[in-house]
This record gives sequence, structure tokens and C-alpha cells, in this order.
Amino acid sequence: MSDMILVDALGGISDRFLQEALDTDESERELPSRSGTLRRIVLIAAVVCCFLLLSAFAYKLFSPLNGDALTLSGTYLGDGIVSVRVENRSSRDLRFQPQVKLVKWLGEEEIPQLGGPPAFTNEEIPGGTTRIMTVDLSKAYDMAGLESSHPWQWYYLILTNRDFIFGHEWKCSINFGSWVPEPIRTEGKKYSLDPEVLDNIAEELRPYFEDDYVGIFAANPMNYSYMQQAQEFLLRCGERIVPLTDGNIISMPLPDGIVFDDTVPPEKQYTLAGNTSSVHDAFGKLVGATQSEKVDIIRVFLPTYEGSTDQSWSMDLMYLASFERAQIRSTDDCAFIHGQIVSFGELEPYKVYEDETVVSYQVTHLFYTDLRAYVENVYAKETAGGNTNVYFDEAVYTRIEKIAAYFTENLEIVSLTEYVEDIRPNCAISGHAVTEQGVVGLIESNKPIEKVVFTVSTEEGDELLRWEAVPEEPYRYRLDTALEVSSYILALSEGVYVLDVSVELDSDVMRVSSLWTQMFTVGEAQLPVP
Amino acid sequence: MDDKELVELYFARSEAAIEQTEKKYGPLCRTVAMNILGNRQDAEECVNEAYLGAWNTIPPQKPDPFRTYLLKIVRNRALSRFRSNTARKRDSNYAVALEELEGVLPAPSSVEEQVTAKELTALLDSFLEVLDRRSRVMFVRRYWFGDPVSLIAARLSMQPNAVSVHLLRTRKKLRSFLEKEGYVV
Repeated sequence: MSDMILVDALGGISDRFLQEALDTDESERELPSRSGTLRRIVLIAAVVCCFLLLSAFAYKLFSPLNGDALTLSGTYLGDGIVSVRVENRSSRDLRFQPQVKLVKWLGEEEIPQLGGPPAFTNEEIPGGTTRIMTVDLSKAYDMAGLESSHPWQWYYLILTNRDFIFGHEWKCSINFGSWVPEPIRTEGKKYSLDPEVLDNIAEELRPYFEDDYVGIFAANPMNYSYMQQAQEFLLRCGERIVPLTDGNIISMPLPDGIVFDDTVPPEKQYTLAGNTSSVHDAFGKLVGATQSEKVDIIRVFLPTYEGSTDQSWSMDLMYLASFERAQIRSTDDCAFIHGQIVSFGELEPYKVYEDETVVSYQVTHLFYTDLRAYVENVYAKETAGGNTNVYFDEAVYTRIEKIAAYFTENLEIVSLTEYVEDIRPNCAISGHAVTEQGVVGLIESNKPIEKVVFTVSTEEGDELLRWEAVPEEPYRYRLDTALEVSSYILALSEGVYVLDVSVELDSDVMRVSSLWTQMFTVGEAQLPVP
Repeated sequence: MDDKELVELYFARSEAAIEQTEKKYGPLCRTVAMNILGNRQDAEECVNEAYLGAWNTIPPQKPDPFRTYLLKIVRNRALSRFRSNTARKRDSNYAVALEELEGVLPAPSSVEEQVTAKELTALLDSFLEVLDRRSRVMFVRRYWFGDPVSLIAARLSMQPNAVSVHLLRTRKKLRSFLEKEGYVV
């Protein structure tokens, strides 16, 4: 059975090796073997020459960018135009070259080009910024053919920063087909958007927000035509629009004794609110002009039936929008949020966070102005959509009201200044030593797993941060959002388990932000072992 | 549909999540399961179990990349079925791949005392890190995905014999790497 031990161990190898194996294609070719001394000498000489030439021009030829430093997200706008949102997380400036490849997602067949060049706009992406670039493929490809492809046929648009030999390649998926099926509609109005908000939305975009479609968010066919309309509208409006960026993490520590709902035990109050980020609002409407622009959301967790003690459905309650600070040149620059153009001057009173890179605003008023009507509309939408696991009464509304009031007054945002990716005993986080306290026991779960307690302390010995980690491999505890099957659970304090952590030193206080705090409690943690 | 949207469907608890997963990754999942189990019906059931596994773990999991997350579930399910199928004849690519792995580690009693799967995984990661890309792809495709040698050869435009020899060398390297790390006596 030693082979099975090896097989088990192999099961846990890093994802990057699997990705690499999956992405390997037939382009790798074995060099045919050669014989003969002369041939060998010539070959070696050629290799040496190539090596010297490559070394001399390496800086020019090879891309200095790391392939993982970019995230691309593409949307087809019609007439051959593709809008690509590019997030350049590296510190290096990037310029895409005017050459593309288009490959069928199914079958990986490359689409032949017509001969015309693709036309790029905004192809320069400075380091550390997010830009929306457009690529006009109308002269390069038979767009009519692409548009008539099966709606589930996706394509990879492959872009490069130098060329397809020496440069990096990045791909983003595009669907050129029209979206079917059409939304299924039922009789009668199911919910309505806040009339005050609706008044502020440009007339040509209103039908999208007035539509009370209740289908699956991601598959909502109207989202695609809205993106097209919104981007055309923004091009015409003449304002300088700064796109939404991924924000910081909302920190949600609750003070002792806070009670949102007295039918829930005090130690479980923290399970009633959580946070997430999304490209949609509670009604499935896009928050930005593209499918990759997100807002941070504070959610309330609610019962599924009368008297239920679980809190297993959630409602979006407060919305936060973040922007790259460097992109805002004046208070006249504008944001496009939930169909509305708002200047940064107008947003100023709603600013809740600012650092060197990001500015965040609490923009709930751009989503609704009347809490009661909003809550009733969300319930109406859920029930119309066939969700029977929602329950509403006055006690539930009181809970929602209290949570909204609390976070309006006590919103705390933590800057994601440092991802801790390699924690080992005796290392330091923000200058503070990390101490391993040793294996302390087992996390109660469906599988016993050893855990290790780490603490971060000041030189005086005051404990700043403490967490328990399940080691993925010896001395390597990956604390980022890339969750894997063999992931970990962290405990920030008794009763609060999290799956993500960031740390920041602020006035000698290590603050910890978390996602999914509401999902776990001591003794109920389900380790992610499928 | 990209993987982020797919994961969002799981978060929305939409049954379309399974449908889309099947459309996008069904063939790949079935290939991995079939490679290990060598039986179409078993492979089909295993893939369905994997979809259920994904449904039950997302949320709270928010896997990124989703593809390898799903494949890991498929592989885990397939391996546990593979183990429970001892009574039946094991007739799969994987049974052959397992035979190839015999001898890389020593006899079970000494191994189990010395090394846990978790420690071994860390060593395997280090080993794969230093391999050249081609050898690494061959090794992972053969022993993780259970691909037959002929398919690996076709993927890499090589002769099957050359792949076999390459794999043999890699296994020898692995054995000597483990010896160097003190895990093989």
C-alpha cells in the first residue's frame, strides 16, 4: 500500500501544478534526436549563439511581468467591440500590443483572422491600476459568424504585452452569442425600485432597473444589454468616469453586549451580520457598468421560517463603493453606480475610508432611500422567485433596522495592506514577532485535524493577535482568499472562525478583518473536506 | 461563463450551478474519474457525487481556481471508490499507474511509521518545483490525472516509449529525492 500513500500525498499537491498540467497543449514538441559529431558541434554552436543573443536582448525580448499579475474580464458590446477590464496588480506599466488570438473555449480551435488589425483604445495600463480597454475586432474577425455561435460557446480572447513568442499571454473569456433563453416572466408587478433612486437614473437606463425579472443573477440576459447601453451612455455623457475597484475589507468586530435580536443568544449575535462583495445588488441589477465592477456589501442574516433559529438566508443591507485614489483627479470626476452618475464632490459626505491607494464611500442611498420599502421589496422579489425559505415579520424587521443603524454609526474598514502568506515561528508581521504555541488539540469537525496556535505580540509581551491554523504543509500557512480543498480555518477569538485574514498595524493595535465570520462557531465548524 | 460566475451561482444556491458545471467541466471530470475507475457507471456516479460535494461546500468555500477544486473532489471520490473496489477486478489506467509507483516508497510498515501523507505532499511539491516543466506535466498527468501513457504522448507530441522512459527516470529521481530527505531507508 505504499503506492496508495504516495497517491494520497499526490492528491494534495499545489494547484499550480494541476493548472500547468491542464493547460499543457500539443505545442510542446520533442526535438528529434540528432547524431553525428559535426551536427552536434553545429547544434551546440547554434545553441550557444542563440543563448548569447537571447541573453543580450533578454530585457527587450522577454516580459518582466508576472503572468499572475493581471486579471482580465471581457464583455462583448456588439459591432465587434469588446470591452476588457484590466486589473494590473504589478508595479510595472503594461501596454498591450495590437495583436490578438481568438480561441474557441470548447475544442480550443483558433479562429482564423480576416487580415485586418484589431484596434485598441486605452491599451496602456499603469502598474497598480485598473482600466477599461476596448478592442475592436470588426476588421479582424467575421463578427456575424461569431455572433451567431451557440450561446454557450465561449471564446478566449488572448492578448499579449509583446508578441506571442516572447511576451506573456493573458486570456479572458468572451461570449459573442445572444443570450437565450429569454427571462421567464409571470403576471403582476413583483417589486419596485425606490422611486427616488429611479428618478436619478438616466432615462435610457431606467427600463433595466424597472424590470422586475427574478431569475438567476448571473444568467440574467438583460445584464448584457444593460452593460452595452451603460457603456455607450458613459461614452456619450462627457464626464470623466472612474471605475469601481475592489475595496477594502469591512471589519465587523462587535462590542460585548450588543444585541440585534433578543431571541438570539448573546454569543450568537455576531452571526446576524456579515459582509461580502458583489457585482449585483439585492435585485440582481449590476452595480457598475461592467460585470467585474463590485461593491462591498453588509448583509443581515435572517430566519427561514417563523421561530427558526438558523440564519441561513441573507439580505444585502448596506453598499460601499471603492475607487483607486490615483484615478480621481478632481471632485468633478464621476462615479457610475447603480445607473447613476455621481461626482466625487457629491460623494464626499459619504466617504468612510481613505488611504494612499483607495477611497471608499457608503453609497446605500444610491440603492434605496426607504429601508422599510426596500426590505419589503426584497422579500417580494425572493418569494416571486420561488424562494420559500424566507420569513418576514416585525421582529425580523426590527433586527434589520437595528443592524442598519449600528453599522451606519460604527462602520469600520480595514485596509488590506498585507496578505500574510508565509507564517512560520519566529517570523515577523509588521515588525512583531510571531510565536508558535504548539499543537493544542483538535478542531471539532467531521475530521480531526491538528491545529497550531500562533500569536503576534509586542516586545513587552502584550498579545496583539492570536489565531489557530490548520497547516496545509509544514511551516506554510496560506492566509489568502484562494481557498483550497485542504484549506484551513482560523479562529480569531473564541467562537469566531474565519477563512480569511488580513492584518494592519494601527496605533500599536493589530486589527483583523474577516470574511464569513458568520458561518462558523466553535464546535460547528465544518472543515472543507468534501 | 467564467468560473467566478459559476461560483456565484453556487452562492445563489441556484441549481443552474450544477448544470453549468456539467456543461463546462463534465467531460474533464468524467475523464479523471474514468481514468481512475475504468468503469463508466462508477465514473458517472463519482462525478455526480463530486457535484454534490461542490454544492455542499460552496459556500462557505469560495474556490479560486474552481476547476482544480472540482477536480480534487472528483479524484478523492474516485480514489475512495477505487479502494473499495478491491473485491472487483481493478481494470483502469490507474491500476497500471499504481503498479509503476510501487517501489518509489519502501514497504508499508516502515513508511507509515516515518511519513504522513501531509509531509509527503510537502516533499512532492518541492520535488515537482525543481523538475523541468515537461517532466512535471508528464508526472502530474500520469499519477494525478491517471492519463494513459499514449494520451500523454499525444498531448506532448512524443512517442509513447519516450514518455515511459521519461516517467521511469522521474520516478527514480523521486526515489532518490525522498532518500536524500531521509524518507526512504
